[in-house]
Amino acid sequence: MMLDQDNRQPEEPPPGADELMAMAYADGELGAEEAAAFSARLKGDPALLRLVAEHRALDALARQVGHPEPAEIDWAVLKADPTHRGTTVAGWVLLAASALIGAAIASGSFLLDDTVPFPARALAGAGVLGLALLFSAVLRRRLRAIPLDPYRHVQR
Amino acid sequence: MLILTTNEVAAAKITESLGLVRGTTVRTRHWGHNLIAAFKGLVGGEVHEYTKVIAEAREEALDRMKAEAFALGADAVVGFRFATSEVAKNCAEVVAYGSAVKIVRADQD
Repeated sequence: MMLDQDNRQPEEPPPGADELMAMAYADGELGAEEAAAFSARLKGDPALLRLVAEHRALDALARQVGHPEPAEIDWAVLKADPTHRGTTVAGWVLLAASALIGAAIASGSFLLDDTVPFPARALAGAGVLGLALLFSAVLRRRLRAIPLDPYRHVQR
Repeated sequence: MLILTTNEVAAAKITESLGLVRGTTVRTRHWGHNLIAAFKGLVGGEVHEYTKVIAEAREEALDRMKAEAFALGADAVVGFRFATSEVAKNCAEVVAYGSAVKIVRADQD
């Protein structure tokens, strides 16, 4: 497709230093000292004040018409944060280890306790074994079904 | 396939009603997600774990309903609705239902 050179819109001039400062001020991106100095300038410069007001109005408009929450990429960044990942993994490892070891110690000490009658220990052992078998069957079925589940990637 | 919440199809005429079509599912997430969700309940904000399970259930129920409508030879589903309930703790039940219909363009009639 040929462009009609005569009908092209003239390019907007790049923003000046004051406009960039006004944008940063309106977006709350200036440091405390810079913001205080810029506030002082605004008191004596109505044109600059109007520029800040325009950018704040644009920001408010963007919030109204834009996506009301962080984009997927923002969520991904938050989730991939090393501190978040580290504490989460460490938490799960500690929880799983304590649960497994605790269950093994509790089961072992109960099943090997000679003060408990043998039928009671046998019944408890059978119950624990039955639960473990049922859980393993459910877990195995789920693990085999995961690749066949097209909905597991649906996020929202 | 056209899925509409309205009872009519704009610019088209319903020529045959094929009856109710529905899709149902109950989904949950594993215990670990429920644990994280419980912690999120303490601090506030969106609980993504539950958002995801509801979204999964919604899409699955919708697809099952569409499959039923497709099997009946429907062109569209009108009066479509979602219904949700909780059949068990941390499980999301979603029912998608509507009326399967055959349609023709209004100007072809």
